[in-house]
Amino acid sequence: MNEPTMIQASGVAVSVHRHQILRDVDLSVPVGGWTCIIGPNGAGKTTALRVLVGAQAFSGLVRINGDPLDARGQRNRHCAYVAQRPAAPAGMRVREYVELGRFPHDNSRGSRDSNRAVVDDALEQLELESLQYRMLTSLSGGEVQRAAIARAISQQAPVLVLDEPTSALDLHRQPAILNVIDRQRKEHGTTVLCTMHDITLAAMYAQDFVVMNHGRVVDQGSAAQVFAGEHLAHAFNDNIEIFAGPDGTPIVLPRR
Amino acid sequence: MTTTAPETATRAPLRAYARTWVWAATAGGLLIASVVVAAALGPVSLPTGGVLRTLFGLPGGLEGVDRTLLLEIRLPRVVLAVLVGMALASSGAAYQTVFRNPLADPYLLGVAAGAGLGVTIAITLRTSAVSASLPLYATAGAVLAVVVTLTLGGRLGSDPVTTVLAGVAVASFATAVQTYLQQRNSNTQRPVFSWILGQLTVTGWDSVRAVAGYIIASIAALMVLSRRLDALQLSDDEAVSLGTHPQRLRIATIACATLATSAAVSVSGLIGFVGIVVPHLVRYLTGRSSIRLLPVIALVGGAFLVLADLGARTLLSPAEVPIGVITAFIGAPFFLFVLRTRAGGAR
Repeated sequence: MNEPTMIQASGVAVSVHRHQILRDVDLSVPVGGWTCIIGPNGAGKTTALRVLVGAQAFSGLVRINGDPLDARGQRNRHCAYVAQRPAAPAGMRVREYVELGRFPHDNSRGSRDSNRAVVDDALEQLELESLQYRMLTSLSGGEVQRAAIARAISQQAPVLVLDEPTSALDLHRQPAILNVIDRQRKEHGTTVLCTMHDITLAAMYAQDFVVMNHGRVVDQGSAAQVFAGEHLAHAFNDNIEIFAGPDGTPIVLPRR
Repeated sequence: MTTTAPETATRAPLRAYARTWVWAATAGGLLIASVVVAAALGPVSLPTGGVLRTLFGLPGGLEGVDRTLLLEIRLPRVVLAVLVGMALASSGAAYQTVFRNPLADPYLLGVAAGAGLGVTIAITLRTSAVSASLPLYATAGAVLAVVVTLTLGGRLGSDPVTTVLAGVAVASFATAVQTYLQQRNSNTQRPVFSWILGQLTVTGWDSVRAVAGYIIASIAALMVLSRRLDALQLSDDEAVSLGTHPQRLRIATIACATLATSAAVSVSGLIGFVGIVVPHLVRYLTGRSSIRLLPVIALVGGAFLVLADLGARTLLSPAEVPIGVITAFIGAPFFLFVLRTRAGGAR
């Protein structure tokens, strides 16, 4: 495996209130790829993402884009992050919220036009133009999630970190949003790292998978390796069935 | 599906994206106008032209008694109102942002109750003239209350909800002690009560000099911080990914806002509603929620309190209405109006 890595974590451990949430996590995310972390509830997926965006103190070593990440949990300019339930600040309009994505960038007078263009583009990609002057608090959960993804895209960070990006979306919107993210990856070389519960949907987009269970990484590799291995099924108590879809992508269903 | 809804939703509120400096200039004009009007009106009215000329050092200004009245009596009070109004409005806006709570006011973390306790202690300890040392006791009580709140709230305010709840507890405790002290020393009830209602009675420039430095410095620091504060409207995790350090930012902001509020409270007593009404008014008028509006909020806060104080000393002249009564009297109905319009017009 010689492809360049964007994120390299080794021996990462997190404990909160003496409760060990992550143990000895090693994972690597290739540049420009789409990597998905899967596993049952409580496996440590969200905590792993929070470590990588700099929101969680940890022990171990993490390098993003070659830079070591400060273990105390520090600001981090490499990752744009969308939480599973994004905060919807009161009194804020959708456009203002998406503009927050330009926050880490130069906001001087000279760059105002380019910032506006980036925000317009993000709003358009997520079909939020007609909602851009609405109050964020008046939107549905799915619309807030789209706004949060628009905000993250307008940040133009090298890595897009998404915690359950489709959890609040209608069935038909799920691929629509994931297509936007995939386009971002292909056109701008953005590296995508996400968690998803819908493994079938994840398999349509991600090339690499990390399987987590009980705070550990139990398997990782390409989709073919992970879906052929036994660890994925084990992580779900052997209660899932993996089929091959018509075009070869795996379909993962729970067993009754 | 209605056909009109998308159209109204796409339309940018005209004023929504006017530049901040346009708003700041408007608010500055409002502040200057209210200062001139407030300096001219009172038991003895002064000619507006003369007031303007004197203020700007032009020839043909006021002379004699009028000049002394303007420069030594009325102006210090008006300037104090500007400072206190700016301090309360900007601290309110800052607290609302760092606690992600639109109802946060400058007294949230126990500043009011702490200052009230400090003043009560000062008055009960020495029932003679203590007015000179009152600000000191008020500031000490206010700062102490906030420090206790932040310590009790755990990890220095890293969890906004816990911090706010700790503030409620500290405020209740301080108020209980204050009530007990008052009960034991019933002769102090009148001065304590009049202080609590808020007043801007000043003796010359001394009060202004005592607090101007603190208030101006902390507002300036808040303005600098405000450039990064918008990130705190998101969750801490998301704020980190925007390249900020939420915890440090929050502590620095709370420190500045507390200093400004304590200084204001020490000379004015408790003036309610300014810290909530003014930030909401500015957000309502500009259609924006960004804390980058802080300069506008500060200027409007100054103007609001100058006008409220004008009402306080002229409405029942020669008697004075406590300024806190005026701000609440105007503030509360107005606040309800804004809330109702926002609830209806948000969509």
